Amino acid sequence: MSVSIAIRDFAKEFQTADGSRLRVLENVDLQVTPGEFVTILGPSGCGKSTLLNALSGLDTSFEGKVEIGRSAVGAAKPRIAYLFQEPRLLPWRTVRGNIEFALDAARVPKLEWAARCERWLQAVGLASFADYFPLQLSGGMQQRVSIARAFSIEPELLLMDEPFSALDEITALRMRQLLLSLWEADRRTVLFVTHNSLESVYLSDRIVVMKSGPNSRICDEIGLGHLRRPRTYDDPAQYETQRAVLATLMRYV
Amino acid sequence: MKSRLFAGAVPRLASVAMLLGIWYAAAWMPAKPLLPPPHQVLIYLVQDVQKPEIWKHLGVTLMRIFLGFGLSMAIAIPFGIALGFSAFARQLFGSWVVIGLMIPSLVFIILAYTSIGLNEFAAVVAAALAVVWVLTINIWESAKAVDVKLIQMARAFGLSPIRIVTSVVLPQLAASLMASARFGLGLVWKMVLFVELLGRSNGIGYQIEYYHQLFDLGRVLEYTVFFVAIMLLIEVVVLGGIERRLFRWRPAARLA
Repeated sequence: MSVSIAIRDFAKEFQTADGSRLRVLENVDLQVTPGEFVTILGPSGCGKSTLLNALSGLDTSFEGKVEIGRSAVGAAKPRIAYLFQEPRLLPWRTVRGNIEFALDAARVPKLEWAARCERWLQAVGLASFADYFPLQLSGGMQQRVSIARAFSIEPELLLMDEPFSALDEITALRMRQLLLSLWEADRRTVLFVTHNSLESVYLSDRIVVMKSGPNSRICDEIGLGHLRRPRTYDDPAQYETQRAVLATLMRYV
Repeated sequence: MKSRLFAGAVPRLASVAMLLGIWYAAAWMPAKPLLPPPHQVLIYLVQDVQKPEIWKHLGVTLMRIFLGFGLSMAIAIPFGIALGFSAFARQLFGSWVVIGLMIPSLVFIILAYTSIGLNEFAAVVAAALAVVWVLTINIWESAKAVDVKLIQMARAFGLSPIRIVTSVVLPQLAASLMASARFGLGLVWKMVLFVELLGRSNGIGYQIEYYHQLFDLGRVLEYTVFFVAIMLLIEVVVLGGIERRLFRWRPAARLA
């Protein structure tokens, strides 16, 4: 169902315009257990997305080892879903068509498509919008479609790259609630990238803090096992924790 | 519904009336009339559309337009896409396109007729050569505008490279290819008249030149009005219809 992640001695260099090499990330070690919700917290430009791109297979030119493994041995390539900062829906396909696009890409048998579309559009509250085109929907609704798209393939690993940072605060609060309620149903492994400390505390089991780049690396880890789930926004313990997290973050920026 | 249909009817009617007014004013200048009056042209037109000759010339011209258009699109699409996506193609052909764009159409038409001969094939080649450059640049520009983020998304979800081309890249290009097609057709039909004038003995362009030599401005205008009406019909009804079907997803309105 879910997979573990093991990143060992990861480093990434980019070629700059003047030909010199810029080392954005180095010495990154990260283990994630199956079903864990881990947030990478760090300032913009610290190379958080670079890590996700390596995990998703979008980027293959890095140093070090990146392993995504199941507990069962000899299984096929893990099923990965990616949630981007923007919805990244195909504008010429309907909402349903966009979910079918992901199901098709993930090689889900066609027989299951209708039921899965129905189920996940229902889950994000957009069942009656299946035949709309994305550009007919608001930004928040489009992002809900992209959440439905990510969950519909029943991924073993969910990669999220600041998915709520482009939304207004109220919409973002609701979306985080929605995300947690979907995630808590069957606890898939999540690696969530953000620069928002409040978000990282509300959502995750564990926070890894990255310092600002270049030569960025993981510099601290904060476990959130003491915060009970389901999480609520008005839990005082959460605010206490967020203060501590923010203080840690500021030390490394 | 009714009010919507008639909204703006007044300025539209006024627009037509003004145009006719200016035409009549030019036709009824006391000293020397500039143009034959519109009703004269209309009478010619009503007479001629009942005879086969005008339709024969139209058929010949339309055939040249569609062949020239087809040939230029067949060259411009692959080259435009290659130029948009490959630095190698840009180094190889980029300057050709720019130079081609600078050469006057007249030169291409003369070249085609003198080296191929005064025949139908040369006419089609001439029309295609005259427009293929600007079409290529048009498609090149649109290939640049393909959204890389959607390609990344498809890759992240595990779609195969071939399927990425067919279901992510080509649909994005479709919009701009359609725009290029309309633009190209608009260019080709004007070029074809030129081509006919310079080296063919039939077609709308030839007829216009023929009546010009006889100083029969009424007939010149008659052929012009006839031809523009037909092309407008093709443009709005055929191409517009295809476009509306293809791009239903472009919204008229968005939900709050």
